[in-house]
Amino acid sequence: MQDEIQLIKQAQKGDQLAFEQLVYRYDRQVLNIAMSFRNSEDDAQDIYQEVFLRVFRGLKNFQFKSEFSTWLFRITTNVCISFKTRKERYSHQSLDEQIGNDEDDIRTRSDLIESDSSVAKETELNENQQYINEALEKLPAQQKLAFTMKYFDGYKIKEIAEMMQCTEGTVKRYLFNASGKMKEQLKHVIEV
Amino acid sequence: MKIEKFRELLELYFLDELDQEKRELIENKILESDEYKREFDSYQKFYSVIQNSKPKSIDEKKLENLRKELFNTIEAEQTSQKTSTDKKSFFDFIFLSNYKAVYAMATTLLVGFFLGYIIFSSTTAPPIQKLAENEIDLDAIDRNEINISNIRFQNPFSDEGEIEIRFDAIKPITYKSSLNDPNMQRLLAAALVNSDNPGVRIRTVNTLALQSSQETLYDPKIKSALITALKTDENAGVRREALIALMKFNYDNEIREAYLYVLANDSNPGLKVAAINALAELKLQGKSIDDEIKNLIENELSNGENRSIRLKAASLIQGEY
Repeated sequence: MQDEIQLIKQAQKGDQLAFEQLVYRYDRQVLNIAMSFRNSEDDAQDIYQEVFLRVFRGLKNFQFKSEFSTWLFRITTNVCISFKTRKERYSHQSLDEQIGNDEDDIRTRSDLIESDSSVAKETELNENQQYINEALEKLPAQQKLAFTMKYFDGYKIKEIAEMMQCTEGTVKRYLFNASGKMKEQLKHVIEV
Repeated sequence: MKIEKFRELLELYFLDELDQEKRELIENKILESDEYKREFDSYQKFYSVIQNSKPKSIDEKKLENLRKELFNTIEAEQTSQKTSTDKKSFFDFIFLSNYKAVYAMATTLLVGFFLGYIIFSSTTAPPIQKLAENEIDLDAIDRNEINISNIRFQNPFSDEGEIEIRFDAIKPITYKSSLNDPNMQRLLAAALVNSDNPGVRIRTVNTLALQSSQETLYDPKIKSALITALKTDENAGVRREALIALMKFNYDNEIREAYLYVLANDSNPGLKVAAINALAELKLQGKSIDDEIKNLIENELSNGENRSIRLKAASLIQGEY
């Protein structure tokens, strides 16, 4: 721990190597969270870059009031949530737009995208993963983040609460609501 | 325990977030109720599906590439920040840290401009007006009646704020008079010596030769100018006319020396012939020719390459003897 504090102080003074050491310590976890959250390599890589750029820019203001890891993962969760919000806002109107004129072919653009993207993903994801990803995408950002960090990355509820800067009760509620919606979305998978 | 509460605890049970007491509570409920058992089984399937669908593990090579990309981005950002910080520091240094010095410099500059305006705005026109009124007619320059050249700035910015320039003003002057007029003689002498144009020099000498008479009272400068032209003018025609003009003057030692110079040094045969002719003319006038001149003439007779000169020399010597 003393070693980490020293590294942080050096990095705060502009020591590039010290900053790189900090990145090497935590970037795997950051990327895991991003991968779990997005399940898209491109998106996860964008999140990774943005997280560490924010860390680099904000490191001078870090005052050791919390663990560095906690601070870092808070940034990670914030970037994940804002990333999803941004994407949803960007595609909101067009995804809900109805395409096709036949009554038997009433699909939205998002359906089309999902079906198109699913074709591409079939090569690397199994069918269940595809359904799970689709179901996860329909969750609110906070619920999705809490769910992926718990189910995929194995963080304790207390840790997630710290990262998301909320209470454990809130995280539990996020988890409960998320799993309820996921079970509903994945009913046809679970009941097989 | 209601089913809703059971579901909440059930999830925490699978997520390993319950203490031992609550875990036992869940396990007992499953044994007590089929409904709770179905919930347990259903959640177990869900949990199993999710756990079997974890995202794939991180590709180390991609992670390494991500790190490189990140560090490159940060390095570029640091460089950019350093540049902007340097600029900001410079302006901060100038405008914040040393604001007193900056204001002092600005004030000095303003005072300088003000003083410059005061000094130069009041002294721009008068020197030229003064010249125009007292020394030269500036309108004549506009009419090309006076040519100015060779302009030099003697004192562009004096302490008094005056500008002093020096230039050559050439104004054509018409002067009409007889050759007896000493001023005319001086003017012609000056023209003979100073004019760059050989035609002008020949005309000058011709004029002197044609208009003059033995009674004319020449300015000594005229004779001096003619002798100089005879000895040194690069144009043979000018030298020849000067020699002819000198024949109008009373023969004296200066003229004798000039003739000797031509006989001894002039490279032009025609000039030497003219010099011999002039001496023959003097002889006809009863003037004697001294031994020095005789020796030169005899030398030309013996060694001269030019046949005309030899003939002239022979006739002169035969006449003498």
